[in-house]
Amino acid sequence: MPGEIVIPNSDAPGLSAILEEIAGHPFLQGLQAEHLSLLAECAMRSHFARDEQIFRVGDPANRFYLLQKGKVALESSSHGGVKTLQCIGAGDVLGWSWLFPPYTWHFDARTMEPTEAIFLYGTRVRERCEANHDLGYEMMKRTASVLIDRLISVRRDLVARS
Amino acid sequence: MPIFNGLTEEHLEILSGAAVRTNFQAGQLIFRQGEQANRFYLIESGKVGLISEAQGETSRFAALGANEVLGWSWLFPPHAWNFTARAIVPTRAIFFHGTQVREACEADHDLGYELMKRFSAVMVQRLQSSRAELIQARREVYRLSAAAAAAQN
Repeated sequence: MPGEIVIPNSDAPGLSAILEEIAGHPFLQGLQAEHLSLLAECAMRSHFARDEQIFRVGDPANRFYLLQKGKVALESSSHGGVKTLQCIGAGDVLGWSWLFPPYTWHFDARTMEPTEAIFLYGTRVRERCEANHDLGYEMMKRTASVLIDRLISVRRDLVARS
Repeated sequence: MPIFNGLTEEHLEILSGAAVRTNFQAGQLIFRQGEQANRFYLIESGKVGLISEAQGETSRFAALGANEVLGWSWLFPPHAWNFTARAIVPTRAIFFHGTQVREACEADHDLGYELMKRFSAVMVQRLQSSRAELIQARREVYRLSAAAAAAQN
């Protein structure tokens, strides 16, 4: 039945709870129950206080975050000071560097407010996408869509500067 | 074409079926911001300027060359070009019919996965370099205003 979430036959109550949470995130809207289950197996809840560093440039990038609540600043720092690239919040996705080599973060991410997110293990998600091209196609389609929006946004900022 | 490296013969044939060779003179318009976007280009040789035209202001924010993909707006609605593209030098390119490629991806998820993965990889690289440029531009502004302030004292 469309829209029905089928809980996998696992006896882990945590898994069904996380399944419901990821099913609710805009990035994964429209995914089949089977695919959501595959992703739930790679997912964990996370909480951050305000002004907490989620990751730093150069760190190994092996996960991405589905933001549910709060606000995160993407920053670039050097001796010129800290520069904000972008701010993202509930409903957004944080992190693409897990997708392709060299799998390291290209910027810093710091919370501006208490933040709740689901993080997914990048390596596991990649493996599942490689093994299941239906899931892989859906994930990559959504990824491309968000990346295009980000590109448009950065270009707009770039043009505004000149 | 590097972006299609590793695709199966079958997939390459599908893509060939949607492909058309084209070339542009120096200064020739390839597509205009706001127009319907129903194709993408693989540049074989030459150079293409990406230009933003907003509120009467024109500014070139990037340039693409050989083996690079030009155009993403064909992928998702609203299917309208976000920028203007104009050949800087004589340019040869292959364009692909967007609707055909989209439909082929929907019908064959192996092809869909492989293409979306490759396109996303390119987009991540573009995003990273655009962001680096943005940081650079902001630092320049900071340096210039600091210098101006110092000069006034």
